[in-house]
Amino acid sequence: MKPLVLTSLFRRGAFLLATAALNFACSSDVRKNDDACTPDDADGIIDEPATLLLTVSDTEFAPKILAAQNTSEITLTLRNDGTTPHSFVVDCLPTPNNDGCPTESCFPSDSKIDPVPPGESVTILFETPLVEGIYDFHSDVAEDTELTPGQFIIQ
Amino acid sequence: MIRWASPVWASLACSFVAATAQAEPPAETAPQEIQVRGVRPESPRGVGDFRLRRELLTASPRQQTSELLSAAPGFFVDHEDGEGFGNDIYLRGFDLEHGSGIEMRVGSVPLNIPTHIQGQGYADANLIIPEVVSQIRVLQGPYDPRQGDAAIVGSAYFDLGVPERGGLVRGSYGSFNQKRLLAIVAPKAAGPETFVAVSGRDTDGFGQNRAARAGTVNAQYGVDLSAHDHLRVLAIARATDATLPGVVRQDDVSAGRIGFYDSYPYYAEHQSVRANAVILGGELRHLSSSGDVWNVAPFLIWTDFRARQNYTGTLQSSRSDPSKFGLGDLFETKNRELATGLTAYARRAPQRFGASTELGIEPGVYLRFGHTEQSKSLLEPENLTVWDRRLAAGLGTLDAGAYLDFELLLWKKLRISGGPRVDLLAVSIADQLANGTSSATNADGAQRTAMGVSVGPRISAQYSLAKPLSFVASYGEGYRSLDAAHLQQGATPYSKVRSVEVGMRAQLPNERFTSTLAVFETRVGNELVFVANNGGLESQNASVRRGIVASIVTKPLRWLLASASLSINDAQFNTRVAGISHHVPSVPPLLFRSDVSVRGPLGKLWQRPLSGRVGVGYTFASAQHLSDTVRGPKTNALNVGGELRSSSIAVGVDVYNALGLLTADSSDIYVSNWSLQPGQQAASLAIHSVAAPPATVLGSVTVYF
Repeated sequence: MKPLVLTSLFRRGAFLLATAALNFACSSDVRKNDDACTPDDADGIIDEPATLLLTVSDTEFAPKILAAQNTSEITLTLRNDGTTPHSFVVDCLPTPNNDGCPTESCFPSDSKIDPVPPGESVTILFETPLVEGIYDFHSDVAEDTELTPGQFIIQ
Repeated sequence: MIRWASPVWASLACSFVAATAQAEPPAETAPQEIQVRGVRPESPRGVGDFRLRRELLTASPRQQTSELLSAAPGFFVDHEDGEGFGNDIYLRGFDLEHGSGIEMRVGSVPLNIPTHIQGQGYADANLIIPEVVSQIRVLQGPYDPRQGDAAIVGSAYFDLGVPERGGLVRGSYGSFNQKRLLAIVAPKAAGPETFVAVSGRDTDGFGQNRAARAGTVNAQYGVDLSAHDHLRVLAIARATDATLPGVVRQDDVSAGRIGFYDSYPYYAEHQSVRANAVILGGELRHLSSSGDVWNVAPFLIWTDFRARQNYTGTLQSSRSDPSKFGLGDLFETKNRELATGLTAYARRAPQRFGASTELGIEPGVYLRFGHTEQSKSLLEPENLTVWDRRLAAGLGTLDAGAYLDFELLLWKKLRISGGPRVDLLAVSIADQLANGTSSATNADGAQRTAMGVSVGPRISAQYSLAKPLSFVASYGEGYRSLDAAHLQQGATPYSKVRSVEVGMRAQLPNERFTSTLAVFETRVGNELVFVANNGGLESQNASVRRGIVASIVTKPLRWLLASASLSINDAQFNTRVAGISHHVPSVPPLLFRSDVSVRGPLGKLWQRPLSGRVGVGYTFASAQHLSDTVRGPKTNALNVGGELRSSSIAVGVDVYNALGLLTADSSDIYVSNWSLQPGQQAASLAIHSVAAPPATVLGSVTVYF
């Protein structure tokens, strides 16, 4: 008879423990942002200052891709190796949502570089936005239709 | 509402209950002492304390030593075709990259490298030849004060020995021109601890750029110096290198631009890994006539590791010279360490106090001193010249630990085990890039020190309701060294882990049936997370894992062994950004494993006894989180193997991934600009995968002498 008693006890114990365990395993205390409009951060890294050098010719930027962490202080130098003036403007990144939050993320206004004459350089200081993603940058000089845009990756 | 929704779970539970119902009453004359010492049927160190004997380790095909851990309930170790990297290990909600996070020892020698550049606690058990592993003890959770650095999720202790004396020569050949030659000499005049084993392996690898080779020597000598004194000496040497294909983007594979087993034509060349190691260990044990044990085990370890890997294509710009860019994101990481130390303990024989109390005490010490040279640089793929240095540091590390372990048995039913462990951890950093423009820039200067004392209680209580059934509750605090090269002056050089579990264990005599059920929660102070654009793992903030692990191992018949385990867990970590947390990537929320093996005599062949073995291993891993919103594919892996042996000749065949499924060894989601065109192409977000081996067949012939 002992095995039967044990079996019954065991069944009840196993069931109760399994029930508690499933509740336990399926629960979650992930702390998301209280503010629904504060974006997520995929790599969990912010605030890494960086110094970047960007050259521009009449046809392309070099490098074509810049990368930096979000909310980081960036020292950016734009050097014009072309024959005509070129500028530096970062486009806003669409952030579509139905929560009433901003629908785009933009670099600060001090990240814009006005047209730089040929052979000259301009250095600016700005902070990258919080929203991670791939932002496009280009020259907004009207004649720069042949200048290929670049990408600014915010990690 | 909780229901028995999963057929697998229900089946497991039903099997569990049914098998218990068939349990025979324990024989009054059963040799209880033998069970406790040999099998540890009622573990005092948590529910997940298992000793895996050779029969279970070989229940299904397992090519490398790390894969043997898959025999333990709740474990899953992926099958790798290559060499050089420690395998990834899945356990209790952890994806332990290259073993970091599980403390490993061979004999008394610790295998983890506390401050390895590929992850703190990096461990590669594949320097052990699998055929000489006689037993593995696994402990899930940090509930034993003997567990040291890196015991975040638990420990695995490999015992070496060759019970079948004489020797063997085994030749294997199979898919992808894979060749392996093994020789073991185990003198009949010596005990099972004594042997010399040599193994060499070479493979072209599946797909592109996966050739690998490895040479390994394991030697152990055990001798009784007197009736009370025993000496064991261990020597291990291993050299391995492998080329690596790198990642492929899922969008490129789906569009047919590149094959799943291929490698990108630009910036992906010269990816490789090279790892060498030499280990020397000794163990002197004195057993007094009163049953006390004194043990001292010194060790010396030299490891040399170099990996070259590109995850993202060509996104990087130099941090020291911003005019350099677009030269390829080929990170070279190097780690060379020389370490020495010892473990020692004095285990008193259990003392009886009256009829109902028994107490055993074991104080012990641990000392490990190491010097490491490590670096991380970006190389030009064409000529392997350095174009940006990200880290270069010399590290001095010290771990001086002590523990006191108690084992209190009350009324023969309640066993309380554990005690405190204290470790002094100190790191000195000679930062060659300090105050420069690299990522290692540190305002505290080139010479820094960090020191801290980790104090961790470990306790486990086990109440035997009946002889085959016991309930267990455990709590433990462990630690893991932090990324030393980036530590600030005066920082705490370790991260804490706190783990609690409750569960039960049922076990019948003679190992006919063992079943466990555990509920756990583990909190880690700093999570290690893969960050592609930094070329490896990064320390993040705290993580928490919760889950259940259920298992059964049964041997209802002499020739049949079956095991199954199911893990359900949830793993989250907090990033360095306040208030942001994510699912821990690459952790399957549900993991099911089962092994079934049949072995025994088959009759006679040419007047010689013929025996055989057939084993099947199956693993199901549910879709892993790649991010909070993106999940990777499910994994189904089926391995099948068998062997026929007649006297001194054995012939075997093992098939890995027998279903021939396309599965990824690892998958991650991040931004890259991999392309089939040269130059710096546009970047985009994508899932990146490294392929796991396709169907692989390996045949072997063994001659015993």
